[in-house]
Amino acid sequence: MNDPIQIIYEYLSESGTALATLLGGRIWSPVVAAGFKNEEPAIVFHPSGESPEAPANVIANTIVFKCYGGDATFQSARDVAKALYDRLHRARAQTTTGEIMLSRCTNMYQGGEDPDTGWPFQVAIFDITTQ
Amino acid sequence: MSQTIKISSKFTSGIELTMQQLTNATDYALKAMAMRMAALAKRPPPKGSPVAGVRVPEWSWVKKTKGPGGHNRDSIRFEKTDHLKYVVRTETGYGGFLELGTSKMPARPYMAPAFKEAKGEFIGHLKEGIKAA
Repeated sequence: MNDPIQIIYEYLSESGTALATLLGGRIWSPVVAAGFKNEEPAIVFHPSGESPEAPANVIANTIVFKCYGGDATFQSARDVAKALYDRLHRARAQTTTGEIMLSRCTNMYQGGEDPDTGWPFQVAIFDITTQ
Repeated sequence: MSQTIKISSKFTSGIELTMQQLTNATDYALKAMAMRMAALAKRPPPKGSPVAGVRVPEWSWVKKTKGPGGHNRDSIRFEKTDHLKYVVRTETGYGGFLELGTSKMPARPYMAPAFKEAKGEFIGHLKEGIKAA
């Protein structure tokens, strides 16, 4: 069975892309790294349901991304979500540990403010099939 | 050159009846889907989940449950809010934080998986509704 989180992480972390330049490695799952203070853009993501499909080792994932902009504005969070969309929507790619076969953004909305810290974030939901 | 097409009143009333039946069937299917989604969202967390052993304090305003935890699950409701529109929601005020997680707490999605599963059964409910109409 493939590891969708690892595959997606590898794809998003690939250096030389606009997203990687913007995030500088601040891509985490399932929560932000200790010490992060929303002073730089970052993305946190987690699976929100999956269903194995035939043939074996193919998984259709629903992945929820929370985009933090690195400041107290929703606009910055939206900019990060836009960069994520540009990188991941309709992506097909081979990574070290697997393959993104299909990726589609199904929803994007303003997520409100984090209850613990007050950081604004944007939510982006993708259906991503991996193998 | 022109052509005139006449549609009898019997035909149009037949269409109206069909449209009404289709609307009723759709409403039936949406209601069944909302009920199913609410039921699925109330499923207890799997064994080993960090929320499985959470207890409601004695002083809490939250309604007590038979077992430990589960007050967000108990607050899940569905209701019809408009024509062909049903909403499934929680009443605890923190259901969204559980669904999406916070900067310090991993997400524990329950609504999105329930919606995904219930959505897959919509066509079946619609067929039932059409048969019953």
